[in-house]
Amino acid sequence: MKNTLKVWRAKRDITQEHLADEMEVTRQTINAIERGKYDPSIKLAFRMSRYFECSIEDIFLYEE
Amino acid sequence: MGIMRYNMSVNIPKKYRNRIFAGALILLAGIFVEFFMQFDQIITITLVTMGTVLIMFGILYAFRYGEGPVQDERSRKIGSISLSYSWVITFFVLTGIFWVNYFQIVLVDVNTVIAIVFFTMIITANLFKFWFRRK
Repeated sequence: MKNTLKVWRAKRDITQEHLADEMEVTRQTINAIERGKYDPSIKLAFRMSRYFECSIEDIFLYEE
Repeated sequence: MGIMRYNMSVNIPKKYRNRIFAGALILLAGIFVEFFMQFDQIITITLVTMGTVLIMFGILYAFRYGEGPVQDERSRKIGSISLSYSWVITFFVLTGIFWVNYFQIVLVDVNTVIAIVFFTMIITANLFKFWFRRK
């Protein structure tokens, strides 16, 4: 699964640390998601989409 | 002294402060048992070790994680996968011990088996955790 989390974070001009605090996860988790090493849970994906005020598909792209 | 106490209370979150306090109490209980009671020395060793570990981990976690989460969904997932892998490794080790003992290549007693299982589980679980975190 690909994602544009880094782009959304850059748009808001926030650090990984800040986003991690907002999402109540560790900075390492945000870093792993951005590098495509970890797929977040549905719950975390929803929280991110609400935080960035967009849909989940705007951030996460599923490719077969 | 007052300033130092103020900084300590600000920097160390409550949950770690309680842990450190509990560790200090257990440590003191161990010292008390050693000097004022007639118990087996293993009780003193256990209490002092428990107290020291609680204090050390309390301080370490407080400085490492602060108010942030110690675990999140990724670390929980890594933890559970690591435990599963560790269990499988331990199972193979136990099978190996059984056959080694069965063919009398090496004779192992119960205490040795318990020690091997104990250390295999702890070491492999932590190694897998470390490996998955890096991966």
